[in-house]
Amino acid sequence: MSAGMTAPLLEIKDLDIFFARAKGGVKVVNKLAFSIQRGSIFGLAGESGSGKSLTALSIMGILPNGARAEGSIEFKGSGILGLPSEKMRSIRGKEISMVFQEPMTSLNPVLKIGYQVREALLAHLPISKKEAQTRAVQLLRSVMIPAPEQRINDYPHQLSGGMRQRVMIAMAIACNPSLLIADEPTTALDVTIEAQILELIDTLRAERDMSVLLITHDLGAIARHARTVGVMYAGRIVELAPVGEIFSGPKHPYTIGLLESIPFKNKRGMPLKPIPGSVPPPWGLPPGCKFSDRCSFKIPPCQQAEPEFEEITPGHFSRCIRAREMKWTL
Amino acid sequence: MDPLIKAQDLRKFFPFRKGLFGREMVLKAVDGVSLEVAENRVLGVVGESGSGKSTLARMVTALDRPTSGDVLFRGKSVFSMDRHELKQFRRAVQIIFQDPFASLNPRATVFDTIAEPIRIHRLAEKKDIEQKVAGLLKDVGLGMEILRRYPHEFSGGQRQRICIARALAVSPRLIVADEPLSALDVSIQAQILNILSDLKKRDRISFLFISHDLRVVEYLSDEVAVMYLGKVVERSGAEGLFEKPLHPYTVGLFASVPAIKAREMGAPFDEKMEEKVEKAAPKGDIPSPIDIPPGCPFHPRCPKRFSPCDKAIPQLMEPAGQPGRLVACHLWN
Ligand SMILES: Nc1ncnc2c1ncn2[C@@H]1O[C@H](COP(=O)(O)OP(=O)(O)OP(=O)(O)O)[C@@H](O)[C@H]1O
Ligand SMILES: Nc1ncnc2c1ncn2[C@@H]1O[C@H](COP(=O)(O)OP(=O)(O)OP(=O)(O)O)[C@@H](O)[C@H]1O
Ligand code: SF4
Ligand SMILES: [Mg+2]
Ligand SMILES: [Mg+2]
Repeated sequence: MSAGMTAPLLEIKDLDIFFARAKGGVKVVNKLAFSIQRGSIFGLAGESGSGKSLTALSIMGILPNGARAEGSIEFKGSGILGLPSEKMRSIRGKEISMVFQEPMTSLNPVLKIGYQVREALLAHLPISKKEAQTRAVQLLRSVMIPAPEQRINDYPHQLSGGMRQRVMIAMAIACNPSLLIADEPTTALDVTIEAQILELIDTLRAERDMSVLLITHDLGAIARHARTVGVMYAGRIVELAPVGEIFSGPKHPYTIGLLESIPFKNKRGMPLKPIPGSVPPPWGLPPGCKFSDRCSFKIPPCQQAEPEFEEITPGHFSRCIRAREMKWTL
Repeated sequence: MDPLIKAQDLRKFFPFRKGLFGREMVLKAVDGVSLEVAENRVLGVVGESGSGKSTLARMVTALDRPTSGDVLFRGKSVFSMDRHELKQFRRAVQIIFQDPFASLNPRATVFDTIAEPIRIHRLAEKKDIEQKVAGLLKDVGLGMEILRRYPHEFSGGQRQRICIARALAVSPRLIVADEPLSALDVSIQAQILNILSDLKKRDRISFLFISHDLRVVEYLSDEVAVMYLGKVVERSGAEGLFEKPLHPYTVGLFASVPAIKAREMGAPFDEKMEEKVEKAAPKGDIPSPIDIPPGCPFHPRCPKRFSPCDKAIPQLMEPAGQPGRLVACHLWN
């Protein structure tokens, strides 16, 4: 990264994630590299199956059975990939915590929400039950749940989807983490509620100097909240740039294809130019550039070797051999 | 001339009881909705979850009977049609749903799925069916090689194409599409969107297009109805509506959509500008449809509310100086 910047909070290098399969392994995340600065939001965008959630789970050290990660994940300067599980447990939930897409499945339906927030505190902090109760109310207030003193006695099903997501966020920030991972935190929510939740996350980030890894397929959410963006395709980050540049001067045909797919105002009455075909499965990717079978910029060398992840302009990376020719703009 | 389809003051109430011995109450899923779709027009319906969009779609397609009100197809009430007329109606009006997997029979091949309505309505000689199916698949960008395959072998986008091909098999005049894109990735959404707008241009099909994605609605619609808690709060030509929304809910809804626009111009990250946008998004939760607020249903969240708002229900009317537009808001009445 460019000189003069402070050391990033999280730095991922050469991250590979494999699944063991009957016939050898299948690699679903490949040579991933990005870093997150303190107090800033990194947006990770990409379509379904591109490897966003697995990347998040590998940072948390909770990959599903059968999955294995290799490479390096440094958090506050020390490696956390492959830490023994008791060491990782003292980081997870405390230093790094996560909010998932569907709050209903991550909350326990038979326990009052006050109890669940209190437990999140007691699991990591040496405080009394009474103190935890007081802090639980404060936390619920900080995520803007109205009348938290009464709400702590509610069960999850008594809350709206937006309120449940607020409770999940309260639990995630209970121990003042320095990194919050939000994996599609608003996909299940309505537009006006989505705007509120993203705004809440952004406010908490600013108040607590927290970093956020915001995973979403919504480029609008990224445009509004992220400072740096990584675009994933088929397990790779194919483009990484400061947020303004992604929209004003994308340097990878896949990013351009995503932006072309959005029916902006000025497209009314005109056909869109979507990316042809669909994402192949991890075992059906073309040789060379993994996007080459759908790419309209393809030339013969594209399928000979996989393009490097190259810095095109300071802080702007692309995995495309023709990146420097990309002149597209919205 | 009669519009293709006309919904008149539709209501759908679901009775329920709070607790075992509680008082009988009603959930007003749709409460007095009127709208029209003319030939070769697209009416977009937007609204948040629980606003009654799907319930409306089910009544317009006669899958459900309204509690009161009527649906007229070319001027004739669909709920008093005889069997023959109803069959014609079922052919002319097709529906496609959000979840393309749930609406396909897992044990039927692509060929059987698309051939079934052709057989039911006797639209082709037996020997010509295969050719007709192939033609329909081509319209939605699929090839012949998939004829003998089953739904589970396809991606979400391919399944939605199959559903569209099945709907097209009977040469419908109106397609009611209930969130047809929301299960799909953006690049696939754009492919399907192109197919739908081609159908409008080429076959002059009308659409009642339900979606919570405002960009998609703006792109495709000629007119738009905005629903909130069972009511249409604003209805207008699409261009006017997106240019200048009048109802405070519409204003807030539009403000909630993250603006790529500022970035479109390559604007650098600017927290101040972002803040201004945020302030406009409506505060508070969407009330439950079992507890619809009195007066204007939006008043608890409305930044513009004043004295009549929590008492009188505003009617959908044309505001002074805004010809062709309809708003249900005391500010404009
Ligand atoms: N438990 C598993 N076993 C085998 N393959 C898996 C498993 N979980 C994920 N994968 C595969 O790994 C790839 C990446 O999955 P991941 O869940 O990270 O995608 P994602 O980008 O989060 O997608 P989405 O937007 O749908 O959440 C996909 O191809 C998926 O099929
Ligand atoms: N068969 C039913 N019995 C009882 N209540 C129902 C029934 N169908 C719908 N409702 C209720 O009616 C209201 C409107 O539902 P509807 O599905 O029409 O909303 P929608 O606008 O389509 O929402 P979404 O965006 O979530 O699809 C909701 O509160 C719903 O719970
Ligand atoms: S490397 Fe070639 S195929 Fe890949 S994105 Fe660039 S132009 Fe397209
Ligand atoms: Mg995921
Ligand atoms: Mg619905």
